[in-house]
Amino acid sequence: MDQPSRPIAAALAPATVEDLRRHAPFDRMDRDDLDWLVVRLSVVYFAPDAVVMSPDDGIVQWLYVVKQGAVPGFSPEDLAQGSPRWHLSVGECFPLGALIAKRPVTSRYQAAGDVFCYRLPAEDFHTLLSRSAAFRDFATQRLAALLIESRRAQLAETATGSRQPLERSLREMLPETTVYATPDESVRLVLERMRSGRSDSAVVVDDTGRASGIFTLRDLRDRVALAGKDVASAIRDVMTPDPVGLPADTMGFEAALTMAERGFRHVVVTDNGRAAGCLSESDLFAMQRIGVPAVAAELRSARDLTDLVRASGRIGELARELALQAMPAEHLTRLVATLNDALTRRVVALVAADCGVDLDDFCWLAFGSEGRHEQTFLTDQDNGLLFRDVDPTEREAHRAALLAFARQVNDALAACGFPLCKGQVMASNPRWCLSFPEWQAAFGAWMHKPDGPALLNASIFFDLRPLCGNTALGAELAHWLFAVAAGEPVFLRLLAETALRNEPPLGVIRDFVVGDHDGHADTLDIKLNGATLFVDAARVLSLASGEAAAGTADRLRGVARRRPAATAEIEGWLDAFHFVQHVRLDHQMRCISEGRPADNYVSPDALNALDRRILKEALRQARKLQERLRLDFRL
Amino acid sequence: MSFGRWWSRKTDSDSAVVRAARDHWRHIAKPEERAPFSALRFSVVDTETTGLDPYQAELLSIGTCPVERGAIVLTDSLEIAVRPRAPSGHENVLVHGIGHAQQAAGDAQAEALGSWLIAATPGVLVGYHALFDATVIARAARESLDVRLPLDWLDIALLLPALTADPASRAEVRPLDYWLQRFEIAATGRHGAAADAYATAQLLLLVLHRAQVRGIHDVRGLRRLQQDLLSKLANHASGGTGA
Repeated sequence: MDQPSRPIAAALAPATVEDLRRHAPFDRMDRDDLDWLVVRLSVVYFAPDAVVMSPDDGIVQWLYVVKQGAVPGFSPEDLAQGSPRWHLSVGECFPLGALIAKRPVTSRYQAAGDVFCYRLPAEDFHTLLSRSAAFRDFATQRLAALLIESRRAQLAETATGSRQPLERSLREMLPETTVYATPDESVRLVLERMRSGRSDSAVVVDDTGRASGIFTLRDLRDRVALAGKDVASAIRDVMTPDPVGLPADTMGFEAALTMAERGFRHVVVTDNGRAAGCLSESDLFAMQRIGVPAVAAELRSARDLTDLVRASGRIGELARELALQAMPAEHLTRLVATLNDALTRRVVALVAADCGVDLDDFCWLAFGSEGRHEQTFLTDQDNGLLFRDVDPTEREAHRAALLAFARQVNDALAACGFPLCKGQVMASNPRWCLSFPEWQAAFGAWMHKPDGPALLNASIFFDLRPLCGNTALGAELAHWLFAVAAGEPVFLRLLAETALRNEPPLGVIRDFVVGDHDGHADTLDIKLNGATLFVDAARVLSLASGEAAAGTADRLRGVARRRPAATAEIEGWLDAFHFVQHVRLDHQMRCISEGRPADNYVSPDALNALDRRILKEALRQARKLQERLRLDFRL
Repeated sequence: MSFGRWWSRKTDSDSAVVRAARDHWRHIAKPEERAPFSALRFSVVDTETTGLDPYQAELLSIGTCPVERGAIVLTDSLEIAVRPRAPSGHENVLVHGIGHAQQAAGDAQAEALGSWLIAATPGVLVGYHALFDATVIARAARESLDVRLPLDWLDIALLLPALTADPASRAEVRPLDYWLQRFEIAATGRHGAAADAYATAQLLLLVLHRAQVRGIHDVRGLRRLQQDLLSKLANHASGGTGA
């Protein structure tokens, strides 16, 4: 006899499918997968203010889809402030990141009003991930970011009990009291106010609330006491005028970079142009043993190679410390690059003074990862020299003098821990110590006759960044290059083809395609088979658009700006790239802490289950990025 | 097609489903009325019938939506079409939209009820204006399964006003749509038995929550609440005519 009952397939399923179909990703899922899904759903109710999920609940057991009502999510910081980080409304799925990572949520989800949710067991969620490509794409688009965030949250919690200051906005870090003064007030009055406010600085504001100056204890020393001024003088005469102001939503990290680059110890935080407070170096670096500004200052004040070698050791130490504090890879690599820049600038300045070379005559160029601001702990030198053209009869003599100078710089950098480039891409190589027209000719030859070596060179030299010396000259070369390259379709197509030859190491049967690298069995080359996938694709996409960005992330963001419709997709690539870099830095840190030289050979089996999952997802994103490239260049 | 088949075909009271249902009913325990809600299974039921008189109307379909551990289990929701022993009148067809052909395609009443009984019990039976559904189903079960079903279902139509009334105003029994609108529950495919059971099940989740807020933690408490409201309504009614 036939089964007389009609399960949901006949009863509630069609209506449920229709209901879900009004929202992503259900609107693009196959009917089969939807039918499979709906019979596994249940419906739950949450009364107003009921907690749907919280970090205390342990590993997440359910996927929720809001059927009706709104569910705000509060991070631990938000709870104190009472305003939620996000609002989930009808049709939204949560918590994707926690489900994929099989961990507890980091935020608390609470019902606003009467809420009904569809609920799917975690086990079925994972099955759905593997059976529906549309669902997987949706769930993993922002996956890496979510996971990195969660991982960072976990790490930060175990390490210090709270988020790192560099990861917070300046608004969150502002001290409770800021001492303000008006320009006409006396130094004495301001100092008294600073004392009662227990502050080492005062912000001087004009009638409109804009910061017109800043006054610190250092100013008291330098501009009042040592300058022989009276404490009765007006503060306007002794303050540091026009202080650097940063908007309150700037990340602590950006503020740290600004301080490091420009040597300030205080920044004024602004809100709509008006002063909202003042942050000192110690507010930003309260939790760190070695501060970014301290290292930057040490580099700037180095007087000889010995000082520089010591300071360079501090860069590594600082970077490792920040990596331990789970600073995101993009920030970390940029920070390392910024400090390495400062180091290189100092080396160049010291050697130039020594050799009697005029800084205005040449521009020191950074290539490769340094050019892209993406240095890891394993970085050899990739640099070159561009000089202002001289009379042909004097050119060789001029070059010889610059080569001798460059040789000293390269050696000094090697002494500071940047190995000499195996491929000889260094300013001391006559091939890469060129005048403006010579560089133009070299680039022109690569673009017009793009053979194997030319394409290989392109991957290094097209990531150029003027570093020091006559940077205007370098900028002119870069400007010319990016304008010309955009008009070389044959070259770009070949560059794309070359990029596509390097495939993401994802296997059909096994998760990862591993191999023997340099005696490391069953490993992935996380640089070549990971980061490079993103770097190469981003370079081609960026060059094709005539954009001058030099970093992979900035290049991809540039693509996103030109194609707003693809923003979500590109965010996915960015997250993936940063995750790969994160795995790479983590691995190199481990090498260093185990006392062996840092390399790029990561064994997937040595990763924890979470990282392995994300890495796989990240490499899938690389595949998507390559598909984009294939489409754009019809390959 | 010939409608004559309905009358000519006899209920096969010895079919496997019917025997299994009788056996099932004999062996299941009554739901523990003092147990916490989360330990109980609720079966929210709605029926479509050939008329409005529960002592005359024939069953056309039974929709059931189970609630377990505070969640509606969509996968166990079902709608069983029943072949009435006589086709319903034309106007009635317009109400429930189940045409004669579809009626004829339903399961024989005994088998339909047998399947329903196995799926819906053991469980606390719940309905909206539940006495109607309880009566129709109990009558049909007695006739075709020889099983006596209880009539004291939980009634959301009574429990919701009891739990949501503002103390100043008097509780009123309202149509299902009133509550669905008030709680903004999007009812898809309304007026199908399963869809109405589903809508009612969502209201049951609200009822269970509100009951607990009021300190009511078991089915016994809900029945008391239901009784109180009924007597209050009766009082109001008699008070109204006396004045």
